[in-house]
Amino acid sequence: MSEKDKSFEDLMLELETLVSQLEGEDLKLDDAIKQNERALKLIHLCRDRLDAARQKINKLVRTADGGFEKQSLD
Amino acid sequence: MELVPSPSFCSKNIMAKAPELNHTFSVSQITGQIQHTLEKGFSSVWVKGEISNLTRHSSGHWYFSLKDGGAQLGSVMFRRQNEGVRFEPSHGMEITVHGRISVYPPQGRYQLVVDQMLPAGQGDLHLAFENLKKKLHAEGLFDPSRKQRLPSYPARIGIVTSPTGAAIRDMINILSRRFPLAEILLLPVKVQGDGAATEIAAAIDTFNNINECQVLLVGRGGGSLEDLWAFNEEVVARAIAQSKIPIVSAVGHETDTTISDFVADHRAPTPSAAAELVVPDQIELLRWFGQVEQSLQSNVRGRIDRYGQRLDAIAGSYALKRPELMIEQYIQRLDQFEDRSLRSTQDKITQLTARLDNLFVSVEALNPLHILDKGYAVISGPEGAVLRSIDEVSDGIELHMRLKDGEVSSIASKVKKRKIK
Repeated sequence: MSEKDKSFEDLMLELETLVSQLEGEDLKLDDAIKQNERALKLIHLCRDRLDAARQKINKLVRTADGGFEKQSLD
Repeated sequence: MELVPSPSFCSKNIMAKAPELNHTFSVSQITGQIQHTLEKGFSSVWVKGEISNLTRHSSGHWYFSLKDGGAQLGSVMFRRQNEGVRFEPSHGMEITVHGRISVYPPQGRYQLVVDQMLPAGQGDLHLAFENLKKKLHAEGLFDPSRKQRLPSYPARIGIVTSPTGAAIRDMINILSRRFPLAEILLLPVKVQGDGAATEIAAAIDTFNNINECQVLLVGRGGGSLEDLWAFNEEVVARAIAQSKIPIVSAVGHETDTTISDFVADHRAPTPSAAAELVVPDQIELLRWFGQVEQSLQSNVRGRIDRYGQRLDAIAGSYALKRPELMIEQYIQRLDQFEDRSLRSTQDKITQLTARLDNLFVSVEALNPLHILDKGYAVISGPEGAVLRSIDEVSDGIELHMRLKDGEVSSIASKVKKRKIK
C-alpha cells in the first residue's frame, strides 16, 4: 500500500507508535535514526493532508433503484 | 397417673378445638396485616386520575384526592417532594403520579404518598420512557461492555439528523473548523412527528449497510419532551444497539436525556459537543507535530552525544594510549641520560622517576586486580584459569585464590549452585 492510499488514521497510528518507541531507551542508534527519519516524514505527510483538506460535505439521496447516491450538500 | 381425664382437662380441650375463636383478630392485628399487605403490594405505583379537593397546608404539604368515575384515593404529597413539581396542579386537572400506598391505623385509612407528579399527557410519555428504559436495561443494552470505542481520526463521519435546523449547521461548523480532513455524509431524516423514529432507525441501518463511515452522529437540537420523542422509541434504540459503527447520541440540550443516549456508544450533551467528541482539533494536532519534531531531533542528538561521549572515553583511556610503550620510551631516554653529566642527569632522573611513578599508578588503576585492594579475591581452577561460574567448580578440585598481597590454595567442598529466580 503506498502512502497515498493510507488513511490519516493509519499514518497517525504509525507515528504514535514510532514516537513511543523513540521515547524508550532500548533502540539501537541506527534504528533510532531510521525511525526518526520516518517519523519526520509521517509528520510531513500528515501536515500536508491537513493543509490540503477541504471538507467534503455530501448527503445521501435515494435513487430510483433503491440504492443511494452522494450529492453535494448546498 | 389418672386413667380418666379430669373434667377441667376436657373442657380446655373443647375450647381449644373451637377454630373460629382461634382465628379471631384484634382490630390492631387485622389492621396491621392490612397495612403490611397494602404497603408491601403497592410500594411503587403509577396512578392516573383527576385532582379534587386540593389543599395546600401551611406546613407546605399538599393534601388531595385522585378520582375517576368510579373511585377516589386520598393522597398526600409532602413538601420535600412537591417542591420538585414543575407545574401548577389545580382542581379538576388530569395528572399522573408516582408513589406508595400507606395505611394509617389510628383512623383505619389508607392513602397514596406521592413522590412524583406529572401532567397526564407528559405522565404517559414518562411512563413509556421508564418502562422502555427498564426493559432495555434488563436486556443489557446499556451495558458498558457493549460500548464501542470511537475512532481517533475518522475519514468519514455519518450524520443522521434533519437537513435543516441548528443541529446540522452546528455540527458541520465544528467539524469543518476542527478536522476538515473528515468527509461528512448526511442522511437527512425527519426528527419529530409521525414516522420520525422509523426514518431515524432506517438511516442508521443504511449507514451500516453502505459501511463507509467510521462513526455516526445521531441527534437533533433542543425541543419539548414530545419533540424529542422519536429518540425515546424502541425502534431507534434497537437500531443504535445493532449498529456495528460506533454511534454518538446528541439529542437536545444538556438536561435532556433520551433512551438513545443510554444505548449509544457515547452520549454528547448537544450536537455541537458530539461533533467535538468525534474529531481531533487540527490546531492541537499541528502543535503536537511541532513538539514531536523538536523532541525527535533532540532525542537523536542526545543519543549521538551519548555515543560520542562513550567513544571519547574509550579513545582517551590508557589502554589505547598503550602506556607500556610510553614507559619503555622513558626508560630508553633514562639510559641515554645516564651517559651525560651526573648532576644534570640526577635532576632529570628524579623528575622522570616521579613522572614514571605517576604513570605506574595510572596503569595500576586500570589493572583489574586493583579490585583486590577492596577485599575481593580472584579464584582460579587447577589449570590456572579464572573461575567465573560455580559450574566450573566440583567437589575436590584444587582452588587457587589470589588476594591483594598473596595467594592461597584449598580444596573445593560443598559446591552449591545458587538458585536464580
